Amino acid sequence: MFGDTTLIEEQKLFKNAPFDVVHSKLQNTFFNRWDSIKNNVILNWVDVTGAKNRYGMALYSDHTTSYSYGNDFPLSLTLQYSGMGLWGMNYKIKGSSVIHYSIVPNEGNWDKALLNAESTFINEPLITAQTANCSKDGAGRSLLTSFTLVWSLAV
Amino acid sequence: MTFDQGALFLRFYNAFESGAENKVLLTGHVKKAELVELDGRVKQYMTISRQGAESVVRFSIPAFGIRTIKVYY
Repeated sequence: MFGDTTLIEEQKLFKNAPFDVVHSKLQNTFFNRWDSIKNNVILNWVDVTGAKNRYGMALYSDHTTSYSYGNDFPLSLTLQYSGMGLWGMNYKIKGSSVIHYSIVPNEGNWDKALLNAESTFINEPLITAQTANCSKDGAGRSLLTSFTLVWSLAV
Repeated sequence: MTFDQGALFLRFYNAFESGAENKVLLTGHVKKAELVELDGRVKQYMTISRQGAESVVRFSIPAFGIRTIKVYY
């Protein structure tokens, strides 16, 4: 569970998808039957935004897994599941999971808070390497420079 | 980003709710730049300006849009 997202008033939930961001219309992510399965997949991030998009709380995961969310139930990330599942599966926990998550309180909605850019920072951190040579003025060079945080290289 | 057919392909994604023009700086002397479709068809020949040793191209991407530029050195 992550903070007290239940205190956020007039909640809306947004999350990213491949080349998209969607607004979930679900009241909660809970279901018990195969014919009422709900989309509870977190790809990179899920954000609970409050009234008038003034602020929100984003949850990031480096694993594509599931999350839980509902009225009076704080935003949560599924690490492992044990017990009965759909189609008679009895899931067991057989080992540990290594997962990185982040919580990012944000001002404004996902768009103004640049949550997709934050996702890139988290999942594709800057990699540095020590080199023997450098340019005469001591400054580095970049093959490519983009002047916006909201564009990313797609491939 | 891939290098193919003697050109550098750069595919950009705009992860934003609105579109806007942006400039992209490419190191070195770019001879030609094209905005291309996913299947490689040329959509637009791009204007290249110089900024010192860099080459500059400007283009816009709509919300959640993808644009590919093909750069020749």
